[in-house]
Amino acid sequence: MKNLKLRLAAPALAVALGLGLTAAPALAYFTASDEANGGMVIKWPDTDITDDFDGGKKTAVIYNDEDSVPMYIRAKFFIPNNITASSIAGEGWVEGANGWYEYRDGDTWTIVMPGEHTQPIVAQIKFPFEASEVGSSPTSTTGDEGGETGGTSITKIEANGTEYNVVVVYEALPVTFEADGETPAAPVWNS
Amino acid sequence: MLKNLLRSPLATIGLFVVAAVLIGFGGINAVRAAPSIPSTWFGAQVELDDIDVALTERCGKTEASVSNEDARPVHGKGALLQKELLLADQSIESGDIVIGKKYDEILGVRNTKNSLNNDGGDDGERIIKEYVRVTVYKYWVRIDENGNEVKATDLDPDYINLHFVTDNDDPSSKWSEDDSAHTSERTVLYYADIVNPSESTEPFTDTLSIDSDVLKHDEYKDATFRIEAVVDAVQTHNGSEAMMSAWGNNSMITVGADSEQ
Repeated sequence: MKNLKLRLAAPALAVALGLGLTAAPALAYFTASDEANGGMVIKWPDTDITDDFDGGKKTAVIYNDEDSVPMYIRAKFFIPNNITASSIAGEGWVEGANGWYEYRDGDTWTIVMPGEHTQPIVAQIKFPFEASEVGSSPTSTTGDEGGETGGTSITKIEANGTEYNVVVVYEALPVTFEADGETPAAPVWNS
Repeated sequence: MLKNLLRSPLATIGLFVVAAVLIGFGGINAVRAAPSIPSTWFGAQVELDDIDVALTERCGKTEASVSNEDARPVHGKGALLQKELLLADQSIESGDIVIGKKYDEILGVRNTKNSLNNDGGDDGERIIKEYVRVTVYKYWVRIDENGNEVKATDLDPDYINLHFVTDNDDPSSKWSEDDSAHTSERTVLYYADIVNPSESTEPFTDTLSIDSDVLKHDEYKDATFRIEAVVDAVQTHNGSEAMMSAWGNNSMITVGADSEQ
């Protein structure tokens, strides 16, 4: 029985193959295609502070790294009660709320571009006593995640055998925009 | 009984006949009787027209004012979003894309086959008009230490705000989105009109911006965003069959009577 089926199958397949050879060739419609792509890396905030203490003046400058993004900046000094700052001032800096000094021109915040830095802000320190010995140890700087959006710089001052810390803190926010995507929006600070 | 029949010489002869028919089928196509008197050679030339399509781009302030007809054709890797074009002449000048800022990014499609008939007449057969559709992908990648691009599946393409110009926003727009094909990464748009040779479609995008919220998530640091566009064109002649064959069964384009020649 098996043998019979096989003997029938072979010619049947052969006939089918023969019919297959006579089939018409396939047809296709005209089509075309093209593609293109592009893109770029996004930069992240990165800022830093340098400051100097010299002859009773603490001068701070905040830098925006050149691989960073455009930023808004503000800074605040913390000075111990028994010594006072006779003045805190800097070109481009305006005193705002809660002791913060804001880097703006009138109501318009100044955009600090990557690679740029603020003008210096200077705190004039005044001692209420005759300071026989005023020295300072190098300022130390700390920041969050490499100074992305803020940092602190501390100067230790020794006067009359007592140590005082004069601290400057800064905060930086990436520039954001209004709904039109063109007009820079005012920064919204945390405090 | 059947067994005997098959073993008989008749079966063998039958098989020979089948074999001969098969050879005949195969052979007839290959063999032709040569004319006994050769004739003069006659030459004939058949020119098959080709269909062609390209993407075009106008980017940044400098190119935004350029007309659709003069938009640059763009092709291949890295062709889109050239820095010196996208970032030039902005209100905030920067060497890198500023997060949150809107940039002009105007993509379109052009039928790059030139019109063959200079007197403006329609030759019907020879000018390949086309229907087009565009698939746009947007995604984040990271470049590893070997310089290879690795797709960043943990990062959200929704932060890449590429604004599409479709009939969702503007009912007069000829671009329609295929919602069934939509994902956060992919958008498919169909153009509801025939694109004639040398003509451009209306643009299908207008602005690009990276959402400011990206800066709230550390994972996006040093990531790269990518935009990829693929355009497909199909002939308008027998348009609905052509589209069915090339693009599958979808109801995105209704073919007008003049395409069913």
